[in-house]
Amino acid sequence: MALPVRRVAAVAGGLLALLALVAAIRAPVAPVSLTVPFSATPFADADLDGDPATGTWADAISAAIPLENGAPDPYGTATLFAKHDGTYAYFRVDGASDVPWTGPSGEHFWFGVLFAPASVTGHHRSGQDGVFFGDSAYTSAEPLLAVDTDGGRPPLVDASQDTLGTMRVTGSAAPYAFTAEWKRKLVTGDAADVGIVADNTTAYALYASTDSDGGGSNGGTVAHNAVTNDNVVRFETARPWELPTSAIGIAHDPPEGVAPGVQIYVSATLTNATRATVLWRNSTMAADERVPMTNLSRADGTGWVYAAWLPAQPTPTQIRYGIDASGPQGSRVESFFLTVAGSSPSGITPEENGAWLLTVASSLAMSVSVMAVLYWYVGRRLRREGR
Amino acid sequence: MVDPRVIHSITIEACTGFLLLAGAAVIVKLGSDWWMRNLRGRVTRFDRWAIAASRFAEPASYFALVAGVIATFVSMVTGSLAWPADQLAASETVRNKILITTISQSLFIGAVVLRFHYRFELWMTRGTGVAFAVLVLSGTALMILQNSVAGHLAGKGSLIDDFLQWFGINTHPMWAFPAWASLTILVAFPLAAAAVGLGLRRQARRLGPAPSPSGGTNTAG
Repeated sequence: MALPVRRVAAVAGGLLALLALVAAIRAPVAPVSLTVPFSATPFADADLDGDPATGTWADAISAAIPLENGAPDPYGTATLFAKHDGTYAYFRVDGASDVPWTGPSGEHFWFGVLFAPASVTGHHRSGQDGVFFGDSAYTSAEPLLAVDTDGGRPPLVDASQDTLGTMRVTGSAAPYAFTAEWKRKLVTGDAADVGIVADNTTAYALYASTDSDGGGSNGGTVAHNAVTNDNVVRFETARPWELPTSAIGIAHDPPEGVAPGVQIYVSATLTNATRATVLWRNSTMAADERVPMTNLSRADGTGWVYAAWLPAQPTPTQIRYGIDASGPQGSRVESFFLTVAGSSPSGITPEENGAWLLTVASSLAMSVSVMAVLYWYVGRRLRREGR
Repeated sequence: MVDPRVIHSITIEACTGFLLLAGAAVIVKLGSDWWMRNLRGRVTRFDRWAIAASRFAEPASYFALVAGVIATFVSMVTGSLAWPADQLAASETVRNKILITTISQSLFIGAVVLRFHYRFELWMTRGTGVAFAVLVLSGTALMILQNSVAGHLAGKGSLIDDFLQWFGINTHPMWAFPAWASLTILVAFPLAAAAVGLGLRRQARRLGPAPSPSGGTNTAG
């Protein structure tokens, strides 16, 4: 019997098309194991702006990492850049989303990373640390600043915000490209964060994902927790002798718990310095403002305490600032950041408190009323049954 | 000195255990009563099991309810000692936990009062038994939700998080009705309860006294 040539050609064509489709939809890459290199090259905080063109990333390790969303590429894989300078770890992730970030009520997605000691594998485990960008549970408007969280489900925002960074989304149609850049201290001093030991050996688990289908996101189809990829990260031992040295010392701890509408007091102990200024900008300013620091004529160890007031910020933001100290032996600039948080620990307003108390009272009234009816009903019913 | 948070964890385990036992015992009682009312005589062995389960489940549920209510009050005290009051009041998630605990505890107290007043007879009619079971199981469901909120407070998440997300329940923002809704509930529910109570009383007068246990009536003539 002669083979129907047209049918064979159609089947072969269909198979080829299927193969082409499978080839086009690439599976995400396998989990990675990488060592984050030490780099003495200074990195400006202003370059943690979500723009991949700014900042020094040439000396960072870069690797394609699978995302926990399990989505086919380009949504299921991102490129991680990482390096550290012995004090701070710097990260950048380039990826793609099926929706843009138009606002908390419009189409938006989030990108997040869970980080933990290597023994704590999986999602949302106790002892994990997190950083999230664009989740509308934490972020109500652009710029999409880094939010320091724990690893809970859902992650809770840390009282002490110890990450600085921004995510930027570009593109006019799916896939929308995003770049998230952030830094954090290796050891933040916050018990809620995971401390990083840079010794070439100590391993950490890293899980990155995006989400666009609801739960802090909206409008897309990507769910954040389809798979588990146990990526392993180590940090190269630091070589502090390679870092630029200076005779001038700057000892400073950024203020915490800063609320909107309150002036920000910045103080530092400076050694071998005769004058100092604070260069600062919030997340919406295009250029730095300069504020002189005053010598308080108060000795602290081998240095003197200098202080300055930064203006009150009307809305939640992150402030990047550098303390520029100079003296006869030269000058030195050291950068810091602080978070102006929307809700302080006592962030419940009197109106919200009143509404909550009324809710408790009305809920009690509701349950007591229902039980009273039940009580009468049971009594009536048992009497009717002669019990 | 023992960390107050450890003591709180222990008391939480105690009240959760007792109240879950109460819920489970009520389900067993409900199931065995259903079997005896609907399928009695079909399988003799199951009849025996149902009678035995019913005999143990009812007192077990009552005991567990009383113990659970007492343990919950104890855990409220240990919880308030474990964290500063202003810190508790400042957390929206803690407030959610307080709200749910208040409601579930009131339901459990109501169940204890019902069982104490009407005793075992509560289970003698299908309607009252089911009503009592619904009351206890509603309290149990709320207690499970409150423990899930507690898991988030501890930063550990919860086993039922996927369900919560499916139902769109976010345990972090403070749950509060709008003021007008709270005020409406505050007025409408007690009024409605009073109206229902009066209606039941009127119905009872119209129907006359209850029949005697022997099956006759006490009516004259």
